[in-house]
Amino acid sequence: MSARSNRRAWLSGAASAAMLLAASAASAQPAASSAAANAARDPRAAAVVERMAETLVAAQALRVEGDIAWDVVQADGQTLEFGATRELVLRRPDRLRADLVLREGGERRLFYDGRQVVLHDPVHGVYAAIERSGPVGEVAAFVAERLGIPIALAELLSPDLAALLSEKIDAAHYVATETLDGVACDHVALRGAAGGMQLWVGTKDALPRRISITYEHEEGRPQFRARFADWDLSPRVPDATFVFDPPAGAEKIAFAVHGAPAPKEGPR
Amino acid sequence: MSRPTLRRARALAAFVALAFVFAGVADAQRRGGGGGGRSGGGGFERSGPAAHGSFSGGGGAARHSGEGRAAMQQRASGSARQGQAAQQRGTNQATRQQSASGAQQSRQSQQDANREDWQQQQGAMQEDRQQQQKDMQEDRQDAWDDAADDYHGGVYYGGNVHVYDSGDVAAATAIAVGTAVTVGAMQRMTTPTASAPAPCAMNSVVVGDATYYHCAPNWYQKAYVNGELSYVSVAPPPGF
Repeated sequence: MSARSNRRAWLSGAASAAMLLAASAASAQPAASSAAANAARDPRAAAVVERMAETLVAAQALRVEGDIAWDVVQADGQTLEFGATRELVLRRPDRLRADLVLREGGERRLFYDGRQVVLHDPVHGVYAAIERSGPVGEVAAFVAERLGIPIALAELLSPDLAALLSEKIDAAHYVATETLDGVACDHVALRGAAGGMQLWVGTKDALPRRISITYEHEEGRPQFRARFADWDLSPRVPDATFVFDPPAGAEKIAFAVHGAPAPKEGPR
Repeated sequence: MSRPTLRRARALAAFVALAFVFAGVADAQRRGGGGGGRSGGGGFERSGPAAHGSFSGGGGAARHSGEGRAAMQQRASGSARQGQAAQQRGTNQATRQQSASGAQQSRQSQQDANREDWQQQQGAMQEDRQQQQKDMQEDRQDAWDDAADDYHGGVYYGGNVHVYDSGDVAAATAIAVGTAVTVGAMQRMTTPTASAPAPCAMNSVVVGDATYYHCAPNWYQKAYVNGELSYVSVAPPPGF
């Protein structure tokens, strides 16, 4: 399969945005469902997802702010919403910074400077660092899988993402053109075994504006929602943004690492 | 674009959004206090399946220890459901056979029987679906509870968590394997209640570059376990 067709296949799996789909716990989707899934993938919806992916891939650096929220169904059946704001700065190939501020207070900051991953909790005055190098996507997978830090859907960073998505996505549909915060967006609905996801992608800039995931099989059908704003695909980002400088008095602690020690890996 | 480059580009594209939703859960869980963040201030649950922003139905690091069990339970549940489905098919077949024998009766009786059959089948299928939903929810809750129980008990992943004395994992020495206590749980352990004294008092000792925490008779060091600030059980520092 050519790189182009490979990309097409990947995207036709409702893809990069569908980055948010997949990896259902029901990982053993019947193979027969693939044919049905292909039939249920609206080309217009796939095109929206593809264009969004191309836009993100083309950006050598980016900065985005946003708000995330998640429902938690309480014991008495009431659904409460919790959330956080965050800022993400990415510079390819191996720089990342993500700051999170919870609505209830509390902060955490993730740094990756191409040499180490640092998680800093300024509220508790602690940080942990672990040596790591390589492309940010691979490091993100390490953070999720070995450090157990929940990078949602990190499994989608797998090199086998195309096959994974192809198996997991049952349907992709174009819903409508809608306006969010004054921005015209393509509203796309994707569906997998665990539930449904909606994407709102800017019709002009092809950037994701909003994501909503509904856990249809969970009690109370809770949702996860993310709203992206202030996209900047050409930010001026100094190196210091990605480098952690321990504050005075901060206590260095360790990461618990899942599994056996990994061989030291250099840049790939 | 070469294939490896393309693959990395895809991973990056995915990561843009994925990283954006990272880690909120761990913070939410941490803020939820002890017990793995299952409850927080005001007694409200702050984390659940949707907190992970995952399409997997709510996995997440804090539930790693339950994942194996969850998978097994889901498989077992799936087998059970298959059994139920087979039984249902048998029931349906028997019902159809009964309907066939009913064909020897009058047409009106046949129609009535068919209608009743259909209603019974629909009712049975509805009950079956509801039972399956209930089973799935119970399975998930069981897995969640199991994971939380492990955490409450301080036994973590059956010894699969390794904490090292340096950031260089390949060269580092494991200082602790297997046990961790959340900050919230530790606070409860070290805080007296109206009716009982605290199980232990927490003291800290700095040895070299490391800070040890002593909650007699156990020694701990702080570590991020699944992104959650925790106390990990360690051997006593030299001289103690």
